Amino acid sequence: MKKKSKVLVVDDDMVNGKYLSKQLLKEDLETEFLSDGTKCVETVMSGDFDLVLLDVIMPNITGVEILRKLRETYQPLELPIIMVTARDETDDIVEALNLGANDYLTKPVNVQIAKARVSNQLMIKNFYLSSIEKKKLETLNAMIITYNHEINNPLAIAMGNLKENKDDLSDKNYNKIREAIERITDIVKKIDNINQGTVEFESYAEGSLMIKAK
Amino acid sequence: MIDKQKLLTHFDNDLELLSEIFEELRALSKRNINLLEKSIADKNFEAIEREAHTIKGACSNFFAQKVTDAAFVIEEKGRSKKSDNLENDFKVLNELVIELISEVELLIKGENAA
Repeated sequence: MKKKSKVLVVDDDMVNGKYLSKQLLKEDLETEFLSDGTKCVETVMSGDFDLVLLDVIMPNITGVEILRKLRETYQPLELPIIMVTARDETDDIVEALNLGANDYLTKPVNVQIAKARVSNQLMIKNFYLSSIEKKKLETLNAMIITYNHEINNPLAIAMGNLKENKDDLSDKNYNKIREAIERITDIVKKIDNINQGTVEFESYAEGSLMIKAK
Repeated sequence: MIDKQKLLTHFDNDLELLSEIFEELRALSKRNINLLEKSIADKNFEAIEREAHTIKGACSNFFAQKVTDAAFVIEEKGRSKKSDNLENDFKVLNELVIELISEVELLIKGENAA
C-alpha cells in the first residue's frame, strides 16, 4: 500500500489551520495541525513530514524565523515549505521565497489552489527522492559488475592456476604459482581500494556503469 | 454581510466542515475580541496588531469583507502605533463580528433544514 504523504499545518489561527487540515485530508493526505509555532521545528524533526504549510504572522515566533531554522537542516527538495500569508504581506512573501520557501498561499486560502500547490510540491519531492533511489540502484548495479569483472572472475582464474600447480613445485611451475599469487595480491589491493572509496565510475556497457578501483 | 455562495463553495458545500470551523470562529472571536479590547485599553500596539490580524485572518474564511476591513483598520493602527479613534474602531469591529456569527449560524441552520 502506498504511504500517504504527511503534511504539517502550522497556524496560530485555529479557524484557518483547521480549515486547511480538514480540506487536505479529503485529498488523501495525512495532516497534522499545530497552533503553536514555537514547537514547529521540534515537531518537524520528530514527525517524518513531507511538506509544511506555514503561517507567516504568529505570536512568539514568525513563520519566516521558523523557515530560516528549518532550512538549516532541510533543503527545499527534501522538505517543501509553503508559506501562508495575508494579501498585504508582500515583503514577507519575498523574504520567505528568498530564504527557501517553495511557494506561498494567500488568505483566505482558495482550497483548489492550495491542493494544486501542495500536490505540485509533493510531486517534485517524490521525483527528487526517486532520482536518489535510481542513483543508489545504479551504484549497486555497478558494484555487482565490478565484483564479477574485477574481482570474481580474475580470482577464479588465479585460484584455478594455483590449485592446478600447487603440488608441483618444480622450476617449471614456480613462475605460474608466483603469477597466481601476484594476481591474488592485486585483487586484494582492489578490494582494499574499493573499501576505502578510491574508485571511479566507468562505462562498462551501454546503460551500465562499473566501479573501477583507481 | 456574508457572501453565501462564496462561503459554501469555500467549504465545498460540506456543512459538517462549515459547522466545525464555525465553532472555532465562535471560540476565537470571543477570546481574541477580549484580548483586543484589553490591548487597546493597555495601548499595547504589538498586541493590538497581532489580535486584529488573527481576527482578520479567521473572518476572511467566512467572506465577510466588512469585518476583515474593520479588523485591518485596527491592525494598521497597531502597526503604526496610532491610537486615534481605536475605541470606536473596536466597537465597530465587535458589532460586525457579532453580526457575522449570527449570520453564519442562521445560514448553517437554514442549510441543514433545507
